[in-house]
Amino acid sequence: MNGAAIATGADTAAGDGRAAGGIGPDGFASTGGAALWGRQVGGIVRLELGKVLFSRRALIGWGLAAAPVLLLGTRMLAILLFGGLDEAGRLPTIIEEEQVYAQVYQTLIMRLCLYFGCAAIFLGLIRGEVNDRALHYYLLAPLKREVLIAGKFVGGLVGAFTLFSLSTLLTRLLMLAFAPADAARAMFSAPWLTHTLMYLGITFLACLGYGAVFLAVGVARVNPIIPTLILFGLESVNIFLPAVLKQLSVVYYLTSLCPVPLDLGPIAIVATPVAAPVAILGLIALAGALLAWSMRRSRRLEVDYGEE
Amino acid sequence: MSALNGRNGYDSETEASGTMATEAPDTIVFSNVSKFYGEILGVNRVNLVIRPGITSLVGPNGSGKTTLMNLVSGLLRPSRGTITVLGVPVDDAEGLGRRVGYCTQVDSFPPGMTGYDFVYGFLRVGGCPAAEAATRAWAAIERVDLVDAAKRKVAGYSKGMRQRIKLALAISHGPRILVLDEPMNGLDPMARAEMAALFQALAAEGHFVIISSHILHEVDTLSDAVVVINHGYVLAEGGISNVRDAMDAEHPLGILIRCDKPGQLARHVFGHEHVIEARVHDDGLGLLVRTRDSDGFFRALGEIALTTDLVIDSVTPADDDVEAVYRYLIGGSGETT
Repeated sequence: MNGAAIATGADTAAGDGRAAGGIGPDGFASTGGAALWGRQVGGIVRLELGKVLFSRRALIGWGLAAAPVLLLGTRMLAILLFGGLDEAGRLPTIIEEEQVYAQVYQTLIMRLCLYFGCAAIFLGLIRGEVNDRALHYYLLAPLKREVLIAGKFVGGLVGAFTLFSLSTLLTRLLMLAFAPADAARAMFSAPWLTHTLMYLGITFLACLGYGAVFLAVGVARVNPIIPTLILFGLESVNIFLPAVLKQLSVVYYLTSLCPVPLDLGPIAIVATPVAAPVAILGLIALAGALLAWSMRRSRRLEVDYGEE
Repeated sequence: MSALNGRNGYDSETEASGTMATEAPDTIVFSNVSKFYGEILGVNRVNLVIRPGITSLVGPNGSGKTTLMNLVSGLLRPSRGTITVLGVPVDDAEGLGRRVGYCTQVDSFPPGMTGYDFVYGFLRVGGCPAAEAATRAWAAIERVDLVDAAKRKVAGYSKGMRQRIKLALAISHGPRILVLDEPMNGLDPMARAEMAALFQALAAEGHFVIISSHILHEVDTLSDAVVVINHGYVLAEGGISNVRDAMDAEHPLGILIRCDKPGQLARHVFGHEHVIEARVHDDGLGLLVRTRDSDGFFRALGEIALTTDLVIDSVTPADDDVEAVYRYLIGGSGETT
């Protein structure tokens, strides 16, 4: 081994991490606790983004984000090849396309892609590390478990939103292709831009809400398949649930924020959408509560390698 | 209190306001610690005080060595009892992480990382600023002699290289305590010798170096203290000679005396009341004696040497090493565990 000297903490005061005031012997400037936590979260986010966006594990997320783009792209191709004129011989208008997009967003993107995409990403934050036998890498680092969970959540959130905001933007642009006559004008029209921003906002809130749910499932170290499927079932049958039970789901609040309401058919139980501020604050509060629970629970996280 | 980065490169303000503001005892203390995995016993009722220097955990597979190490490093929480590490309770993850570097036996790494990324990323997660993290990562990698391979993916490393990069990770943030689970595994003889020298250097600097190893002669050479553990119970602890002395009554100490007339020496030593066995060595050039009172025997041997014409070349204990302790306490040679 090389004999090059490094600071190995032989100095008891330094090695014990006790503060001595002023500038440390290694020449670092003094910083506060919040700055340290910020750097720790930054370090975790940097690693998580690599996993969420560029690792083998990322393929599920990319696949789910690409699915609606491929669907709408295929539809566009079909119209171009086989014609998309209606019975009156005209192309769909941008308003009609907004209806189609609302169907695609609320059924495919929100209920399937975002849900399972967030499940893959946020369950992977803790459970994925356990499966990779790499959780000790984080647990051995000198940081509070609460900061670790916060960093992991932020990393997952940034990664998930990057994937699904890209998906949302691309599908919104593809939507314009079905109304070529109006496209250029519509793209810069207030409704299209506003709706696009709203869908991006809903996408963010979906990542936040579902992300917090799946992070909590991961931290609880239970088999994730059962809660993921149960929650999926509840979210899927949400339209048939009584108004009171609807309020216990994430999708209810997300749907309330959608700019174009869907015709849910005769057997759906229609509930009055909640006001936007209530929906937004409700989802933020839900995410906050679950994140706080996950942080608290993380103090009990253990790694058993069973290596002996 | 104003904040600063401690010598290990991390800010110390948050800690300074916490438990470590008080004087920390210079020991690792297990107080009646038990750890159960469901109904399976990990370790039971462990009372142990570990001091600076090299302490080796010795025991067969499944004896509880890794459990003890995981408990010290905070990867496991005790089911019962308390553990304090330099005065810090093990549920203080941040405080513990600053003080403990753990080279685990687990040979898995975050996917896609290079050796450098592995160490650098760990330091950044701990809050080390970028430039300082880079400096410390390179210094740790240099100390384990892995600079040339640092930018290669860990997945392509040999077993020995993976051991080294894990060691680099463990020392990168300058912890006072190094916990090393089978750190010599996969290393060639030269690297083993270098690694042993590194451990001794760290111990000489005042570090705690806690090693588990099944290579007992290496443990014997390296260790200031041993902890013999089996079936989750600590059977003995302390300096190797102290542990051996405590076993004298049940396992009399063997002493090999090299001399020119072993037969004549045998007649003399049988006069000593604590000698229970004396036999000429297989090569005919020495006498193997077993005694329950080693101090008394050595005094008697001095008198024999002075009053007879025997030429005594050397006197060496034959079974006061870790291997003998292991054999007597646990059974078997230890080499196969």
